[in-house]
Amino acid sequence: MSYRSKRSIAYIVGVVALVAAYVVVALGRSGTGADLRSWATLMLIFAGLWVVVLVVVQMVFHVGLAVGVAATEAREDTSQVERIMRASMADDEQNSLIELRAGRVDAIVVGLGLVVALAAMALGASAVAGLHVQLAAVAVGSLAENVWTIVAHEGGGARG
Amino acid sequence: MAERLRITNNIRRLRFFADEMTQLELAERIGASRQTIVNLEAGKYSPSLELAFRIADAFGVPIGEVFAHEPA
Repeated sequence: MSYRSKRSIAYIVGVVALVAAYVVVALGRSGTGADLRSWATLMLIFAGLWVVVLVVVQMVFHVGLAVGVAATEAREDTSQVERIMRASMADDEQNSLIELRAGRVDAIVVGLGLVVALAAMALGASAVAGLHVQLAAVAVGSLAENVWTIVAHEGGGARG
Repeated sequence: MAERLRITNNIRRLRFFADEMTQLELAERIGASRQTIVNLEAGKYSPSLELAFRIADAFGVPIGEVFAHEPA
């Protein structure tokens, strides 16, 4: 499995953990009801956490990969570890193409989420519900983007 | 829309005849990732013309010796 596929799996785990944490916090907020301001604040906090999780996953994953390569492929040859790491992380046309298409998948899901949220509110759902539909779409979009990345890297989803 | 051509390549064979050049070495020479070489050899990815020429240059052969296509 490629470096980018493994990183995508790490991102998926991070996103799922963050969504689970949000659900736990949101379910514990009894009494806030339709207070849009408090929900917006909570979502902003989790948006910040999201960025932190992405950065931490990136750092931990990079270190973990270096250790893994050293243990399995390069033993104690540090220059070989660096070579393998560089060749694994190199940005090339296939990666760019996959990222572009994965980003498109994300945008489609988020866009659909916006439409569903607006439709739900037009049909009488509360603004808080609409906001949560949109938030869910962002999370699902991120998951879809990473799943697409894995499928494309492993199955050759991008044909050039 | 025209049917997609099936493009094949001899990269694995050319690596063998280039003193068993590793996928890592080829990736470094052409400035691509190792995964791209893996996917190219498996026929899962068709490169751009530029990358195809870089691969041919890495082996010192004409591009036609690296890639071929089967009629649609």
